[in-house]
Amino acid sequence: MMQPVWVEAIGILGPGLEGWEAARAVFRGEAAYIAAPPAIPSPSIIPPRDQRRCSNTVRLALHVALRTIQAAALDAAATPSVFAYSAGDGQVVHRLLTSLSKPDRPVSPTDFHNSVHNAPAFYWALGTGCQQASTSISAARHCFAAALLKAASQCLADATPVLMVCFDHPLPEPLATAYPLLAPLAIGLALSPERTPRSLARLELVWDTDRNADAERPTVEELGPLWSGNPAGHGLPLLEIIARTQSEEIRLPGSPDAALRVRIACPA
Amino acid sequence: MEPLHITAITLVSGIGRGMTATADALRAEKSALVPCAFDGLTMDSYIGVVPDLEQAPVRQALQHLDCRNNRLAQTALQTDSFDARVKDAIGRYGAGRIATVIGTTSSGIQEAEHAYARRQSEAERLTPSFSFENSQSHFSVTAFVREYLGLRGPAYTVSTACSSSNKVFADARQLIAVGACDAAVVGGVDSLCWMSLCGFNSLQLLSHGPCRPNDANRDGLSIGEAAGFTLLEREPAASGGVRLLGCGESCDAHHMSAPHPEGLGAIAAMSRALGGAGLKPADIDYINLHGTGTPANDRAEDVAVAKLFGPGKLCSSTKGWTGHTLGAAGMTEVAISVLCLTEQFVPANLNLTQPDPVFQMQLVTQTRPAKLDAVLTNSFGFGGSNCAIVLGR
Repeated sequence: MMQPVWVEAIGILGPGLEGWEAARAVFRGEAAYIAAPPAIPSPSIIPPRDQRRCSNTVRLALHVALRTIQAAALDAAATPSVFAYSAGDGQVVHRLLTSLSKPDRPVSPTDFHNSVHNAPAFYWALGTGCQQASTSISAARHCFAAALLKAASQCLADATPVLMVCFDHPLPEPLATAYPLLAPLAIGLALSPERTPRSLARLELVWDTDRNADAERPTVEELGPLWSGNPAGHGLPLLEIIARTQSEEIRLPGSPDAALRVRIACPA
Repeated sequence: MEPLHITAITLVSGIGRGMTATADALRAEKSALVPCAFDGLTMDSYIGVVPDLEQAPVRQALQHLDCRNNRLAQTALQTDSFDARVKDAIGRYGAGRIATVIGTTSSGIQEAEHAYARRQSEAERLTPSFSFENSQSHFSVTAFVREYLGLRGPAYTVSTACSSSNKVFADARQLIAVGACDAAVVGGVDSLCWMSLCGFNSLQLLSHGPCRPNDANRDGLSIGEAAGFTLLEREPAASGGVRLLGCGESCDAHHMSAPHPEGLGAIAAMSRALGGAGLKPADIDYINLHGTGTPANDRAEDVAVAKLFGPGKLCSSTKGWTGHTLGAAGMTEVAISVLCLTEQFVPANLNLTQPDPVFQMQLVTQTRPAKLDAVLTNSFGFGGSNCAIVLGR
């Protein structure tokens, strides 16, 4: 059994879920869920010269990273980070693959360096001046559980707050047919190894290989398609429980044959 | 940190299949680099190729995951009795208590390259036989390794460009330290593809001949492919094995594809790795450099090494043998460092005719015996992602 970690702040941007306060009202049943596509702002931390180069994927990740770190009142430059997404940067990779299918393979150097999976993490480090450890991971459809387990392990092993952002932006065609994603969604969590006056919830994590247990889906039924339509959606049931200040145990899908069991105590 | 024991290890690269073949090639100073002709693409550069992957499909039960990258992974899993060692570990801990964390940059994107190339027009769909999740997805390789070995613990891919498979060791350290698992299979797998070759070419970072890291006339890197894995546990398998003593990670926060000129991120990563190991700079007997062979990388790394360790530290880059294996580079050089420790030698910095005159480190010019207790190995990636590992006897 791992020691507990505490959730200090939550950030979210997705269809009908623009910011934690608005999303919280939906999760609490105080506002109706209307799945309008979200506007993805350009993060202010990116210099204007680089803003042009930042794809929707990078903007989505950085917007939520920034909101989360601000809400947690953490120093971004001193906080290690975990970025998790499954699809890669569709706009960039599609342009590269198209170039590679042409006779002279005229690859854009800017596209090539922006195609690395740690491109969002790079723009985050550049924008915040953060030289702490940062990683970029993928666990396909199970990114949320992997990111939470990785971030919590780092938080406890190194006794430091950790920022995690799990996100995915739909790919353009023809990749979209091969890997469909419903809508852009990003969820950020700021984790702390100890309870603070700001703590929203206490989490205990256990990797569970019981094949017979199903993962919990969101209670707000209209969120079902987003839960299954974007890997970050697996975080929605966790956010619902925190929004309702409840204490419960849920399973996040961790792989086809295992789950991450999360015991949530809220208030912390 | 509490040291972890490397209880099984394997490496397959252009210089050989398995740890013994790798050691033999290092002693014989035999490079893998050949003129670049790969998958219909010829370029004025050199590459390190693992032969015969075209004739080595993945086993029947995992056919849905068949692609060059997973074929390379399978070849390594079948080498050095790695799969058998993991089976023993499953008996000790249970499959659900062993994590799988693999580093890659391009995974099976070759399948997407082929699917795009087969289209007659840009409006056309990709062939239905193309599966994003089983090939292009960064997780494909980790899914393959996990299923091949029958593991059921936590699993994810680390993809931070060329530091990917150094950073997986930091993941194992954290996951085991907090009890998320009892043991971990970590490694790196990256295979040749048009994307990497044409991408580095577009950035004018490829050498025209075999790469010459740290040479005054170095002109870029040579790309290679490799797969390697380690099994990490708290308990040793036998006495005298190699231990993971420290991991240090950092970000440059400077430039997407150029290192910090004063090596600030590299210094931070190496200092943190030493701190984790509880060692002083003087305790490190040899450094296996990132040493890609680009003018900027090697210069910044020399500055960083000299700043932290002082002038004259014994170092070499082994990329003249294997080429730069990108997401597998960290694992490739951890495996070489393990060989250095177990067999007590230092490998030459191949293709070095005239060391860069401004460099302060002492470059190994010939593979030779050396007494080593602790070594450090660096990996630095695009996006300013740095990781250093300390290994010891």
